[in-house]
Amino acid sequence: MNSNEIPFLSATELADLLKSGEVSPVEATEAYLSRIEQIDPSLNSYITVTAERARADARRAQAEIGAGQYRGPLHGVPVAVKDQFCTEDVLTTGGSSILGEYVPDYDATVMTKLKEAGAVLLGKLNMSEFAMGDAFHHPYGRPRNPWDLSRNPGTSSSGSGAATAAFLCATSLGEDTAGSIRGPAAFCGLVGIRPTWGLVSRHGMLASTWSMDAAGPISRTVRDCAVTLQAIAGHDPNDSHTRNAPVPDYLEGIDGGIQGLRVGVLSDRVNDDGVEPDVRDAVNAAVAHMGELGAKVEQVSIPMMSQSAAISTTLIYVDATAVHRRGLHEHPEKYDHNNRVRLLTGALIPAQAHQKASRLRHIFRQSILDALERVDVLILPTSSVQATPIPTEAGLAKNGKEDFLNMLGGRRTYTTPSNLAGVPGLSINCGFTSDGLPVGLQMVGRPFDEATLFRAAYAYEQSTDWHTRRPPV
Amino acid sequence: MPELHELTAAEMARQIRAREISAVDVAEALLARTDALESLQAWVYIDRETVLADAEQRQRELDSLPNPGPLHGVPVGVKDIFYTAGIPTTACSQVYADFVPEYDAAVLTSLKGAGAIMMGKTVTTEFACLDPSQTLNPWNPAHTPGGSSSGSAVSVATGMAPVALGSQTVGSVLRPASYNGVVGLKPTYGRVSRHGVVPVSWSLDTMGWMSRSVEDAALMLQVMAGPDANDPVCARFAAPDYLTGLEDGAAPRISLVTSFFMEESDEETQRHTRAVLQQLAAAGAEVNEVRLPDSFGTAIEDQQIIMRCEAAAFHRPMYETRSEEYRPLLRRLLARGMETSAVDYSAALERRLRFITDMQLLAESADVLITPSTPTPALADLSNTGNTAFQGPWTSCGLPTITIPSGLAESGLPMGLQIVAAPFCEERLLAAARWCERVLDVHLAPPV
Repeated sequence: MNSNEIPFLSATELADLLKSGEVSPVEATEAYLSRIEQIDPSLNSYITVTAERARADARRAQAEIGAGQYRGPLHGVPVAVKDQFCTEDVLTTGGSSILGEYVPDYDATVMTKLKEAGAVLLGKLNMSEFAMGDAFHHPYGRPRNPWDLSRNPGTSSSGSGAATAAFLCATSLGEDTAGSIRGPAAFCGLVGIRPTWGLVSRHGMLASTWSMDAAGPISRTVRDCAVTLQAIAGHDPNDSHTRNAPVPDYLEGIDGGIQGLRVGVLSDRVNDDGVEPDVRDAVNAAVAHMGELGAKVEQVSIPMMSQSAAISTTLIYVDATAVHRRGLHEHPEKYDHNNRVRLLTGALIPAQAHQKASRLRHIFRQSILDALERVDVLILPTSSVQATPIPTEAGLAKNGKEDFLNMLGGRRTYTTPSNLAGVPGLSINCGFTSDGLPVGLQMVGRPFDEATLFRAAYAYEQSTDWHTRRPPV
Repeated sequence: MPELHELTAAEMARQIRAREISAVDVAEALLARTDALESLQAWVYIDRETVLADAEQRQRELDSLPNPGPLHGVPVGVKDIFYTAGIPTTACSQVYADFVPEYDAAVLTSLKGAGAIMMGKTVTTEFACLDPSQTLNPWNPAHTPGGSSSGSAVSVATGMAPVALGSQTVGSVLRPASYNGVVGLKPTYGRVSRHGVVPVSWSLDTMGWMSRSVEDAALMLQVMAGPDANDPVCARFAAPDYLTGLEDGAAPRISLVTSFFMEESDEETQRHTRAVLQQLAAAGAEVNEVRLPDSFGTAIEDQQIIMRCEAAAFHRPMYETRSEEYRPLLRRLLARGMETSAVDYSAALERRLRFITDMQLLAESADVLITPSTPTPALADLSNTGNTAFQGPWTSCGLPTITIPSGLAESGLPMGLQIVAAPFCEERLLAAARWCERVLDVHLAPPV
């Protein structure tokens, strides 16, 4: 195979060739490194390319595979991770100039697990500062969407979305507090899963919101996504909040189809005025298609969902302020403008407001769990809008109150339900808008039932061809 | 032959079902007892006509009901923060003096469904917080009866009711239970609905109750435990059978928590606890010692932060116009709660979550953990309701706890043993407590 074509394979296709020896890890790694060199200047998806480390990883993988010590489906596969995960001896910035010289002396648990799986680390991916919402200032270059360079690739795992979509890594890791995996997956036409809170260790991951942060993959195919999650999931003694239970094999039964699967469509969310018509039509078409595949589709309404962004914003602003309290006192000027506003807002919120948001969160969680007793999967758009244009000036709410209300009631109400409820949410590409931008279909499942989401997404993916389209880079 | 007011709830119900005694005789005996002990000030509300009418009805129902409930005809004391339909629920506060709920607390509905009779409302400290109540300790009126469920503890200790509802946000069930020589149970956070109870602190408040036997504690739990859509933190799974295996428990594996709990106890309590454990070991229990995780270090302070913020959130609308009507300790707590930032509150919640996880692991390392119930017996100091530190951490991490009486101090005041199990392991907790109760065979009655 022509080495220029290697990056366009899915991670699992590549794995098969690596295992059989048709392609070597060194060859695959060089193919990716040269593509990064060629393409990434226009995307800024990487903060650090760890070329030497990648070559060393690749040589080791090559020797091991050659010696018959095959580790599994990520062995020798070139991957990249959001710069939120601590990497031993490798710069870890959190997307901020404040950590511009931070070189951890240890690996995050997910990094250790990727190493154990034999993955090759290509580098650290760009992100909005400290994994908060949209940042205006990107000290490591503004990440751009491979489908349209004038647009955002989504936040906050921006680089994970851009690099994976542009074939600059085989699969990637992101982190999702309020939609930071699913958003970039939707804007970039990828598959991303925010796992159940407590499935994946957060040890060594820079924190945003302790009760919501969840690490997970952004990949080009459902199988790639499943394989990547498989590698990083499981109990970690260093993160006592990880569940101490065996992780199921996500590939087993992934091709079982969705005959009889009970799918609950949140129709009032899909058809809400705030949803762009192209997004709405694509999601409705996807739901109809799932029905044709044998799913039992029904309408579900969770009225509190429209308030979910207000609840989560209150909690996130406060929790992030707790993380950054000292930094905010010592050098507020070093934070991105938008984050400075968020953190100062968080500092002003009284405990009573946070407490009320926490209570509402519990009620909301029960309503999600109630709905998931009646259906296996909930469906809604990942984002109400297509990839947004890159802003030209700083500011969270340039048009004042209206923007702020829109922020509390708009886009975020689509991704926050699963982080508030602590349940898994997967985004998969379900079509394109008239501007040629991808649309994300979101599937929300029961706690620790990622397998059902993968099975549903796989059935959808295999009967459509959206995932075969390539962005114009 | 024990007198009617000395019967446990289970025995009372059994004899009523067997028509050996009548529900009306029981109600009259208990009402007479409350009259005789009125000076203890354990009750804020008793409507004798209604109690007697309810008892008569329960007695009549025996003729028509094929299967009377497990508490059929048993009077139950109810702390005055539990909603009682059409009956004042004052939380013993000026601020709530005129509050008459339109519905019963979920647990009261369950109790009534099991045939219980609402005996009356017991005294609580104001809003189940810190300012001492008027209730007197029946063992010695110069000593605190504990709080906040003061009236419930005293009414059960003195036989004015066989069982009474309380609630625990920090130390409000087990501490007064131990001070008064009775059994007090606080189940796992989320096992029993809190719907229709005046809150103190929503992420801490846990229902509990006093009784004079472990069996009664289990019986009450069986009646009240289970999911409730009206309490969003209530566990979604059904309660198991707590009663069938209660008598069959093998000698438990016990871990004595030495750090903090033994260290902070007075010498007599330490000596007493060691002696009790020797007795349990001699009867076959496997006893060892454990120490607390590092995250215990901030647990008590974090609980205070969480409680005052959450209490302030609830009281704010009333406090803004009526702050002078609150008693001083509560007023100070609310004022501090209102000043606390969400950042401090959230940081305390995060540390608490780590603490919860660590304590669950500790609890899973043995069948049960054991500590003295209180660092000293009730002290001769009526300016406060006693030291909450031996209960607070367990409330904060949500583990189920029970206290059983273990003997009398030289001062003549009761001492107790606090037993703790892993979350939602009340079966194990109760079986172990019953085993200890049988071995120790301590039954205390105050000299009144």
